[in-house]
Amino acid sequence: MTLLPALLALACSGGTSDPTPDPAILTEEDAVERVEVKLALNWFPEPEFGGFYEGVLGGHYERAGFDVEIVPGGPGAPSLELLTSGRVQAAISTADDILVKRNRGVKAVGVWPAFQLSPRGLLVHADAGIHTVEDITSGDIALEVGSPFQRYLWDKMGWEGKVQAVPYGGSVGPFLADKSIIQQAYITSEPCVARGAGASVEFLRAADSGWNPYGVLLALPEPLPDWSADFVAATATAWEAYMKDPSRANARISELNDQMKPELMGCITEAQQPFITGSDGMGAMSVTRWEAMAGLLVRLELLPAGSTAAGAWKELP
Amino acid sequence: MSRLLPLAAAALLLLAWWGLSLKYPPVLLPSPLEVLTEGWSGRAKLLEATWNTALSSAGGLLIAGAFGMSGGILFLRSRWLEAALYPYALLVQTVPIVAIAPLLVVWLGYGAPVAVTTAAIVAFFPILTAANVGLRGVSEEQVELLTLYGASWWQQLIKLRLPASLPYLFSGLRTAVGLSVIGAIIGEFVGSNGAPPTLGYLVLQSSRSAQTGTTFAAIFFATALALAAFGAVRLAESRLIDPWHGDSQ
Repeated sequence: MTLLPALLALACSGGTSDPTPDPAILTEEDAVERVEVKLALNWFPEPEFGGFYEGVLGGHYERAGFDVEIVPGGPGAPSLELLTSGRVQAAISTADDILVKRNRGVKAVGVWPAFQLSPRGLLVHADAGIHTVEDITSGDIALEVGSPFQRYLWDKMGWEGKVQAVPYGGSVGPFLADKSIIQQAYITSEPCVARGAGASVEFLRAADSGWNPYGVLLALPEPLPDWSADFVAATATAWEAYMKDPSRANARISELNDQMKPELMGCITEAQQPFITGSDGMGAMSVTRWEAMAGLLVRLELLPAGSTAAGAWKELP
Repeated sequence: MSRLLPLAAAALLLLAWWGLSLKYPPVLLPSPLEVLTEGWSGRAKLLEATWNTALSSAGGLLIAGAFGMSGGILFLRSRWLEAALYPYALLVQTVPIVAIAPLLVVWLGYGAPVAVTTAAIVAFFPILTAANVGLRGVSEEQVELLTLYGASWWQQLIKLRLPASLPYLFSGLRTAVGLSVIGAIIGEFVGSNGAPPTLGYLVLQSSRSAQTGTTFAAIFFATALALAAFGAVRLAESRLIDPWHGDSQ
């Protein structure tokens, strides 16, 4: 079950990256050995990965000595499992996912979060009379069933037996068709897609309910390869470039993902900005937040008692 | 000696699995012992889920049986209808069930009806084909004899064609019963809300929280369910037709 999606993800990876490096900057670095990096995403191509696409399209990785191929994911995408099996050299995940799966034998270290605030949340119809998570007391919520986020919500809100978790396949179609549906959403996608389709919606941030792992977190294999710091530096530069001008990467994402229509990109870019920078600034990590997340996962019994976040993350210079 | 061979093969497979599980982390491949432990500790939920999935696949099989048989009888009655509709029946077989399951959720809502429908869709075609061939599988002489005695079309159907089609029908059912379990689980991947638990839901839920032991245990329960359903069909077959037709195998 875990290997099958992994193989599918690999099978689907062909033709997804389209590096068009800036020809003006080809230095003697090209003579040294280049590092090939396959970067597995944990969701479909969306602007939340914009900086990584900019890294390829703008030649940021190329100049730092990397040939990067981006492998898109989807619901249940096993990005960390692909990393552990050596099929990819870098993966996108979340802080909670890294902590839970390290305990199950995954060899991954979180090195650079693109999102300070978790881009996750719940999407509700604006006229449903729901303005906070506390307002939800019954019905179905479509989300990644069994994910730590789901378990957290049900534990915190006491929803067991009252609210049902139903599988989310990644399309807002059912949500648009049924006004009573509540579903998971990423600020970088569903709210703008639904508004683009004429729906009036409200996005309830996961962070406001107390669930705030670092999101779109770049993970590298453990032990960290010697190119790690260079890769992180190139990633940070690429994201800075993307924040200044997202148009090139967003255009590519629109080509790769039909739901990400070019006319939605303005809405998405504006919406995701505050989630990326947060209060600590893009790319920052703190021991307090990592340990708080580990503590939450212990409480949810997704980690054994006494577990800490030690070793699961590393800030590279 | 030959009776021991399947056991020896199972033991070798288990040994190979255990050996591989030492090489890979549990999130990629849990050990047989872990699957057993998690399967045992979660047995109440797994059994309940297996029961619910069994109900959905049985429901789907019943619907597929009703539609498949009716289709076979209609096609027997009218060659024109057969020529007009059979190509579309073939279309049902090629429907990418994973793609239409989310639509079923939109139409039917979350819950068992989605799994019943997907099970019915995948089980329909083998039954229709079996009925179509089986109902025609009588000799001209038999039909002429009944006509001579003044038997109506319906009497010929009930007294001659239906009994004669049983071996074909059971052969179709043997294929359909396994498919209906797979169809139900695919429906549950998309349309189950976990209350009551189902095998498809448990597989999703456990794999998302990296509890691969439970995922594998659920897969084993699904396999056991398919085998049990197949066994039930074989049993019915041997009771109903072996005395008349000899061993249909």
